Amino acid sequence: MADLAPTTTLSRTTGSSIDRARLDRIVLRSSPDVQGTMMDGETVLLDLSTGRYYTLNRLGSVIWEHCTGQSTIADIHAAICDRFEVVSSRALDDLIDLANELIREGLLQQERR
Amino acid sequence: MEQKKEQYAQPVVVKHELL
Repeated sequence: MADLAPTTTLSRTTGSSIDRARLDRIVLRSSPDVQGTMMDGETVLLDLSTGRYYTLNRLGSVIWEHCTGQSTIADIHAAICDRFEVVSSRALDDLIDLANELIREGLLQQERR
Repeated sequence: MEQKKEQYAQPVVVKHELL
């Protein structure tokens, strides 16, 4: 069993690297060096390039499952609103915040299509 | 029939630092 240093819940920033004007044109894809597995509704991500690992809670895992390079951010947002009891604007803010964090950590890539 | 939706909780990612 590996000894682990304290964990870090990644901070949210107000700056956005995702262009909100193009949510229907941006698709999200996991980075090639990242492997994920789901356990008990949560997802563990291992970044082979850095040796770091991350955990996603339930909704984070749902979002991650959509990051296959097929769904646009607008598609993912619609799927969340369809499945969860949430105000649309909050779901979008949370989705973009999470995506930006994952992009900043090198776990996700965004592509225009 | 209205579909019952799941309870929402903010998506969170936690980074773990290995020694």
